Amino acid sequence: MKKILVVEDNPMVIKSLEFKLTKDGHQVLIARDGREAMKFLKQDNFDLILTDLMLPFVTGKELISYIKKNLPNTPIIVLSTSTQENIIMDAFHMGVDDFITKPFSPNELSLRVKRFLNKV
Amino acid sequence: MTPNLVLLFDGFSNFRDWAWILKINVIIILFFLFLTLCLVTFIIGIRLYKNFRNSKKQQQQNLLIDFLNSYLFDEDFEIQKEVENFKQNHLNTALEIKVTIKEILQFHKNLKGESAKALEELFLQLQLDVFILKDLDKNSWHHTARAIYALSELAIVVPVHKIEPYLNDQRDEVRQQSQLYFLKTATSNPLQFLEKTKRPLTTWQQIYIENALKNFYEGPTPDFARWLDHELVSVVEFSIRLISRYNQFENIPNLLPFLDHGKESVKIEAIRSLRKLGYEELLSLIIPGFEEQSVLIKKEILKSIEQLGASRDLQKIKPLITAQQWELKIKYANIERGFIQEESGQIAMAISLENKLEI
Amino acid sequence: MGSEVHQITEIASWLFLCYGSIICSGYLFSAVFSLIEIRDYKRKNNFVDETAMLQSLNLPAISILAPAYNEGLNIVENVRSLLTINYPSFEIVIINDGSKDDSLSKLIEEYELEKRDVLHHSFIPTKTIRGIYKSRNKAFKGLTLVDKENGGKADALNTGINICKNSIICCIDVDCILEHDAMLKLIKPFLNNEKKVIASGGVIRVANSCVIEDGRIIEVRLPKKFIARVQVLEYFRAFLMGRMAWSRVDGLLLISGAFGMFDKPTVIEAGGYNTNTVGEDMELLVRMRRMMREKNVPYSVGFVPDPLCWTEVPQSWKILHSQRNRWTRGTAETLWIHKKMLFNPKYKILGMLSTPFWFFFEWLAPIIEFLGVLFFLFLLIFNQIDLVIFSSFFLAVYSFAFLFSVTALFFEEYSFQQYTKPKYIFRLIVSALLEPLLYHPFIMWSAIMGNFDLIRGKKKWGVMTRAGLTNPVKKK
Repeated sequence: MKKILVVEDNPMVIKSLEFKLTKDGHQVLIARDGREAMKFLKQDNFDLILTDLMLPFVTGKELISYIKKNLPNTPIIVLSTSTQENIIMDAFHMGVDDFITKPFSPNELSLRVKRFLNKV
Repeated sequence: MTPNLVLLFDGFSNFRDWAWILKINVIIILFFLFLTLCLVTFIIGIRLYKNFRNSKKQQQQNLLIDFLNSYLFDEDFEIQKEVENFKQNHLNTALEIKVTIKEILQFHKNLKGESAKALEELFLQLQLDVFILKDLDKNSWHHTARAIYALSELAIVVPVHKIEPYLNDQRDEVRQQSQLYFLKTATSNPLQFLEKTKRPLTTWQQIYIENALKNFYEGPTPDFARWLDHELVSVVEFSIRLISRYNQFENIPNLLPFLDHGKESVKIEAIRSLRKLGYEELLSLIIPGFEEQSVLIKKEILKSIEQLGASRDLQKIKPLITAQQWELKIKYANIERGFIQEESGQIAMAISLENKLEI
Repeated sequence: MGSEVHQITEIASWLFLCYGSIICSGYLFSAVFSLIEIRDYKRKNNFVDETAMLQSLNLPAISILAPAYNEGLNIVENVRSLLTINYPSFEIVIINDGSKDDSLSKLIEEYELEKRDVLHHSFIPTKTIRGIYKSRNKAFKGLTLVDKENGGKADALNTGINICKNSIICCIDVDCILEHDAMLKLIKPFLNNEKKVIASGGVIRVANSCVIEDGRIIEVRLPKKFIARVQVLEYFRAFLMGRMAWSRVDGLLLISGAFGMFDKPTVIEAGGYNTNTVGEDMELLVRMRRMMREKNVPYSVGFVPDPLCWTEVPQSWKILHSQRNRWTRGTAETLWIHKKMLFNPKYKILGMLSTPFWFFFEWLAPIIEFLGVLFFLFLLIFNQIDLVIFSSFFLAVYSFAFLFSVTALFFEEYSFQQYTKPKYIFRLIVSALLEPLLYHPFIMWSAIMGNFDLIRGKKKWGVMTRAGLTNPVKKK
């Protein structure tokens, strides 16, 4: 079973992600803000990280920068409201592996997650 | 003052003999105290009521989160039975209905694809559209606007004449929601409502229109040049911007006349749009007139050089920036710096390439 | 002697009644206007879609300017919390105003900053800049730190204005706590108006005793100390009733220095913050409005009633005294600089309503009150006081003051209800009962001393030592 860390602050999105990804047979850990995510990242290893960019306490960008520095082999998928080209480009420049914009299609997200987990 | 209170005053045996100022003061004090008492009761009343209401709301919300998630993602969920059950047991009070509508909208906003479609179906199965239509006919603007919002969000189509009058309503919000209604429910020509729009589009409205166009509308992309001769300047500017956002290169010739438009804001939009479309001839059109332009337009010209031009274009501008125009000078210097870095980068690369080849 | 005193009492009574009824009707109007404005705002707010705004390319980029002086204690957390603001495109400019503590080195270390050569021009003259820093880490791309020689808050903000990139600026206190959507809300007036918007301001709330973690409000609580609790009431009255109503008639003169958004070109044209007054926030807005009026350009000033910004208010009488002393001097200085506007029909509502209001009710009221007390003492000495009449006056004023606070409380309940526990409401009502007796005289005295210091030519800001927003009650 693969372990996924979901970093997201919208309770509705959390519920849907948790529901869908668990159904797909993954182990899902939820961090409701950047600070909590930081804590999890220091304690545990993950096969995939799914994160928002705008988060309470610590920004998604800072998380990404931390992951790239300390856990460079963990794939990162960004799930963000932003659709602006420069924001997406910035994220890819920082080394994220995929960028999904909100509103999202749960089925598509589940497919992309599977693809990355199979690669690893 | 009620007769009772006056009687009470008479109870003070010598009230009539009191100094006038005393009488006034006593009346004022009593009046204030009375008002205060009313307000305090009212405050406590609404506090208790709201606390009660909020707990009910929370209950319904928790119920809905489970219900909706199971409905959307659980394959073993017996949809027919559960939906009927929910309708029977959890849609009885006005509050329950209100919270349910809101929550479904909230879910819908965050999801797209099949899940969004499924939610639209659920909404109709629960017959919530009946309540929305009731709201639409209410005579207060915020009910109307809210109803139109729900209709458009869930793509529920009603006869055109029910919404059309609101396109030029007094209230910004009603106007905006009806615009979005026509956009979100359209299968083609999503901006048709602009023809009937008589009041300027604010930036606020443009943000929402553009968003709906990108995220909701699924038909063929309209040719935005159609609105370039609209009588409202705000619509013209909006169309110019959309042409570049949607990469309608075929409209470049239609944009060129706006470079000489009388209004500064329109000119700026035209320059920006052409720049984003990567129209290389743009520089030869705007650089010659640089000197006569306003500072804002000069800034746009500089930005265009930065993105489309090279050092030699910048050189042409150099003598035209006066000593006092600090903002332009800084912009100029930064662009120049960028160009030099780029060039030196290229030179460095060429040198290292040469070195490699020699070795 | 007796009849003369009687006459004086009679005249004083009349004057008192007139002044009182003007104030009452003023407050009544402001209450009604505010109520309408808040109701409208709440209804409109139903239609805000954050996603649409966050995805938009049409929102103007903003520069958040935060001056810091000796904030080393919390600066790293404060900046981190600023970075988490929800807005599509913004930069943060921290201006280190010659701090004597380790603010600078702490920031440089935590955010991987390095000195950069940034071109800039002093549109507004300021103290010397020692260095401009940016981060090597891409995660902090939007962060700029300016290190400069000490010159006060106004000077620091001016430096920020000179250096920042975007043409909408938001000036904040670095230690205030912003709601995550504060910028999205504050920008709205700039987008909605067909007139040019030169500034918009928001409501400041009291953060004392709230549960705060790393620059974010976790739970809103009522301040434990009476002195801070009364300020909660004061802020309700000032923001929910006062400024809301002023905004309805577009007569707002003050956008709080702790939290306001401005159109940068207009600020620069007006000359930036005035470094010679202690009321630089009010003075700037008045000057900008005056300039727009004199140029005859239609414009407006926006106001957003959501609780967007939380700040710590003074918890000690001494600091409160120096704060109110400063506010009085700021008001007086601003009114003096712009005395030409007072009762000048050319400035429309500003000249005929706003400035007179500030003159009579904000600046003059404590003085009149003070004279009233002196008059009372005079009568008392000559044994000419009619205790019954005196008490009737006193009770009338007292009941009005109480009514006014309760009305403000009602507005809060009606609008945003941050204090959800019934016991908080009860304690606020008790505070409102005690305020006129225990708190108000002190505020009046601070205002009198402010005027006194002004005459003596005191220019000091007064030190605001902070208890620090780290909270004893931490919940995990």
